[in-house]
Amino acid sequence: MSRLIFPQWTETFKKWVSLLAIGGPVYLTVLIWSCAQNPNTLRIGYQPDQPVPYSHALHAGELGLDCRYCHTTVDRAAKAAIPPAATCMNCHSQVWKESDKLLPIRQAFYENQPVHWVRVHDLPDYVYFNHSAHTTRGLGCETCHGRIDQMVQVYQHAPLTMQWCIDCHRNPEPNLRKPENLTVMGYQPAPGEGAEVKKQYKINPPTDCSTCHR
Amino acid sequence: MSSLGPRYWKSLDELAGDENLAARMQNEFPDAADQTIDLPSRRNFFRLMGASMALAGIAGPGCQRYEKEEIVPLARRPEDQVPGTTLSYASVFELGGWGLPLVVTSYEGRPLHIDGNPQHPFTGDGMDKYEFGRHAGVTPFASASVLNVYDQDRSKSPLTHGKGATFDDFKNWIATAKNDIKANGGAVRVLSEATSSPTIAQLRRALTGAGVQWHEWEPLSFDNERAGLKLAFGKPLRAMVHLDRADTIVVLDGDIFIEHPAGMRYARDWKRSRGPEGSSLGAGKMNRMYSIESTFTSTGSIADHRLPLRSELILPFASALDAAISGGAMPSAEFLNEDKVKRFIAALAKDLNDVKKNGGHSVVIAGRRQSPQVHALAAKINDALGAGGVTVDYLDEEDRPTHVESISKLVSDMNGGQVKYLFILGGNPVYDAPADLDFGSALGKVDNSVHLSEWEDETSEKTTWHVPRANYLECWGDARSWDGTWTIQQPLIMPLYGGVSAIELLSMVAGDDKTGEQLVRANVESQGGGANWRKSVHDGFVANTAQQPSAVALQSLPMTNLSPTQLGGSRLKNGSLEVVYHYSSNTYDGRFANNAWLQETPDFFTKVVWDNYALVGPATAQDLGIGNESMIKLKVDGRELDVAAYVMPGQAMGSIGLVLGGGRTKAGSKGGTSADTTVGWNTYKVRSSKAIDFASGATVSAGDNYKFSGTQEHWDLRHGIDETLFHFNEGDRGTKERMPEIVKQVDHKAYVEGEGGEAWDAREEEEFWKDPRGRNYSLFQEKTYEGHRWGMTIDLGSCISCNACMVACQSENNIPVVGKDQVVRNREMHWIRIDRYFEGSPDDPRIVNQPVNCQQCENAPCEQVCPVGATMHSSEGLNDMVYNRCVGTRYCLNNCPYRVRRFNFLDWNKEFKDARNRVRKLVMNPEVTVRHRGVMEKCTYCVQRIQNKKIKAKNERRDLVDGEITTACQDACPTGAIVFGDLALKDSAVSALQADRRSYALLGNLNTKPRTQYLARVRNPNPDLG
Repeated sequence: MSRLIFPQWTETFKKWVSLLAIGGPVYLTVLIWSCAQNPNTLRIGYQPDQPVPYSHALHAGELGLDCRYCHTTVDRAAKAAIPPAATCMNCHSQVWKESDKLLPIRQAFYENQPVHWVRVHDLPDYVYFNHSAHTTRGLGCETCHGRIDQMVQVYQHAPLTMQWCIDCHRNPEPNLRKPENLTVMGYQPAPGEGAEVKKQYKINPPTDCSTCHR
Repeated sequence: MSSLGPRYWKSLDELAGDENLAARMQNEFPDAADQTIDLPSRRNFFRLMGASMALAGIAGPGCQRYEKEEIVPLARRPEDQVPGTTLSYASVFELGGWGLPLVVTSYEGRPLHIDGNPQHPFTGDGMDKYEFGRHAGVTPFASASVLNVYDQDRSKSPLTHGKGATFDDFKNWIATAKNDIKANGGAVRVLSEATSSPTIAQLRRALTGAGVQWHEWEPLSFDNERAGLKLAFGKPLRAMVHLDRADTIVVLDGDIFIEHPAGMRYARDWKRSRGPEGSSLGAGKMNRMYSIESTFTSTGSIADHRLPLRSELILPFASALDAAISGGAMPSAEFLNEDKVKRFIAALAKDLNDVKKNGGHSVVIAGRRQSPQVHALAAKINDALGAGGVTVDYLDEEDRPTHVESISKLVSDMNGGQVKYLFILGGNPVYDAPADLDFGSALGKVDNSVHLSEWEDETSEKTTWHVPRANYLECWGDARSWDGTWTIQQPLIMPLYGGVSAIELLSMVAGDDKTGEQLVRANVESQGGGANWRKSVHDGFVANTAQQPSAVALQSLPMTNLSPTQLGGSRLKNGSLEVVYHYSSNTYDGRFANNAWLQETPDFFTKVVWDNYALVGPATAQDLGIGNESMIKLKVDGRELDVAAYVMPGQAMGSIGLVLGGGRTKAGSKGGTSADTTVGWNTYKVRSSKAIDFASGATVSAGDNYKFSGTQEHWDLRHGIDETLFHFNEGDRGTKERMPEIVKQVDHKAYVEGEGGEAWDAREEEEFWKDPRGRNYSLFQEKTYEGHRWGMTIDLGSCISCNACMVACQSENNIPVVGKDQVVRNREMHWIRIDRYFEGSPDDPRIVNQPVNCQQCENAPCEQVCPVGATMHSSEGLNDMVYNRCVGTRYCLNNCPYRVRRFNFLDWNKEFKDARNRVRKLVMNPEVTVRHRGVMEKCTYCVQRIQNKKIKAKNERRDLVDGEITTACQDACPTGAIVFGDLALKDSAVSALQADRRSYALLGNLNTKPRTQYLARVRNPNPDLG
């Protein structure tokens, strides 16, 4: 009879086995889930197709157009401004004027109808980001947008999370450069440049909630 | 000074010590405030919601990116247009025939916010040192008018005989009728709203030259003044007063600040001579204002002395005042011998004579609704006081029939079959024309009638053609401000629903079919004295077009005959009661009935929303046996009206104030679409052409009960402090004495002698700070501030309770409208409210107004209780509200002694998710988050404006200038009572004001250290009236 009774130690064993059987899948699910939900996984590299296959690598990289030729308001307004079709037509009324790929631009220009670009860098609607507040304080385009000059199709470079924003607001020095180098790609700040810029422009990024949330 | 206690009261129930009220006040929200009304079971609702949330979590949005967004840049960007920034344009808002110059702020082509034009020679003149960088004030009506642009109930296409048509149909009809119109000059009539537009005047001259007859109708008209000054001076004139030069101001039954077309300027001028720290009259001088009126107006509420008197008794009162000043026989009216009135007249006459003797100046202003005789008497008194050329100027007016004469003539011609074509330019005569004329049925006798209107309203229904009118922000036009300055109305957006302007329609009728711009421009260039068109449009006015004062000589006035009621006492029997017609703070004359912002802004003094009513004084109500919120049947001149009565303290005995502008049946989805969905009652039903301003001989009979929706008892500051507040007994004495003063007042004499400041602090120390560690002992670690320290000052002495700040805040901060049923449940969302306290006896109380917004406490009680850190203190001293963190516990509101937090019980913006409401969504300010259900919100000192200006200054590598940042309420305030700025700057306006002796913190004894401080109201009473 006694042989049919499991020994006492199996009681503990049973608990562990059942915990593993139930908890294991839950743990794994949560683990995978949270990795999948991590903004680093989710957002970095987001690369939507645009109505016109505009290549930043060609224009900003190879041809060396300054970012501000198109994004004219980046240093004076909250929005960097996607250029109007008229800006494209400054050159493309001369070069590639027959190109099929540029058809939507020509249509937009002559019919005075906007092109519907797809937003790559999208912040939640309760975040109020201001480009000019950063570009005039010595933060380069590259710092947040990455090597635009090498992107044929633009993708999201940085996670754009609140943690990421605040890290820089708390310690901006490593990312600061002299404002004349704003649009230089692949720029390596000289040692002490960040500290100098910070002092010169009295850069003291606030971390108040209302800095970004209103 | 005594403490708050029973000296101040908010409602008659409170004064009477109503137990129910005390019980109601104990609850943060009235019963069932947190229940949804549209769902039967709250528990089921949450069960379902919980389940669906869980499913939603599994299915998806959690692991996806935000929804795909598009960026849609203009194909060709206009010059100066920077995406995501605002541009401001000058324009003008015409109401009641006079223009209010504006600056309209537009965001990427959408007009969003309206302020007064500070550069305009009329409204911008005399802004003082505290107002640098600020806009000139606006009326709440002008401020809220931006909402009308996006009103989806506006008519979208012409109608003919009730059937849809197109603009081409209408143009074809005009083309075919053109010859007939030309041939029948006399049978063609135009009925216009009152207008001062020079371009309309030009077109009118052309049309009347061709035989067309022109009529004008405006329900709230300024005709009496023109007629009265014609009696006095022999020519039609209007009075332009200069309150900045007046030591004594007497107002006879008028609302000179909100209703008067020059009110915004008058309010500023009044503030300038008000002081008390240095006024335009000289150091240490302060004006003194008397108001004699039947119903509380803003003027009466800020006057140093107010005498409640029936409107019909103003005429004998004015005769008596005239007699007391220049000698002559007093009229033998009985009420003049009543002690109170007798003393008032004697003291007033003595004051006026003394001022004159001492080389000062006074002015007497007669109100809009007073008869021409009263205006003539006011002119006579002004003449005797030497006011002419100093405190009052007279400007020439055109001689024309009064509006009542004009519309009466039109109706009799219509009934006589002499009208073949009638063009109605705006207005809504079927609704608001005198009841005895029966305009609606007369309209049926006209073969061809055209109504130009923004909405398909009561009149459009009865005309053969309805033509959509462009909103004033959508079309060219012009108007004159009260001083005569030619002010340009500039469109900010193309007409959203098509629509033509009045001048364009007139041009079609005249057969030239010009655009509005061509018409206005041609007129400015030919008549504007060589004015530059572009500069005039940019500035908003044509330079040097103000009228010069007219030379006048007083004529002898005819004898005035007084009616038996005018000769009687101030108490009246039922049957001989007086009815006085008022404009509504919610709808003006009914035209804003579909404007939800205005409908939900509490009335200046009754604090009722979404309604109109008959105002009855407490003594009269007792005589008639009616209570507050009871229906009454009012019988005037054979016409009957059912209306709800509101017992209003300070309403003159025997006078019933009937608020116009309710009961619209074709206003739209907000203001009523049928007889069952009206807001309020159509009080025009009893208004006759014989008694257009006030009528006598009214009978009242009591009916059932009614329920108003008002904010009077909501958000009571005193509720958190003292639970026994509303029934003081002998035993409560100790509590009462320790009540802090919520509103502080001081007499000018005492103020000059040094009252205020340290004296108040010392007394508070003695009263509340029994703690030996002193008043600055705090339980919390005090914060220190290195950079900006934002602060605000609100001057109780110059708040005229005009509601402009409330509407401006609503427009700036995307504050939702909740509707009448929700206001009953304490769910109104205004971030700034105006608390109105009565003081004294119910029959003749004084009023103190106190705007209350978030005080931005340094030791904020709300921050200490938030479990999720959704309200945090910023390094600049703001209580930041983070909507995306808020989980809706409402602890913060529970702990806020100022009751300034507002909770989104429902998703008030739900309707915007509906694709059909796309246009309405356009009124939202993109700089401010639109809050969703379940989050708390509150005033943030317009933090979006602070941030944007800070960024701009730093971009330009400079420091912020004092006055550069203004809050929306500050910009809108006509008297500049609200001043915002940086307390860290020692010489900023707000620092100077907070260092003033009058400055005090609201509930300062709680050691919340609020950043908003109030300036005590200084009164300047006449010692003889003590």
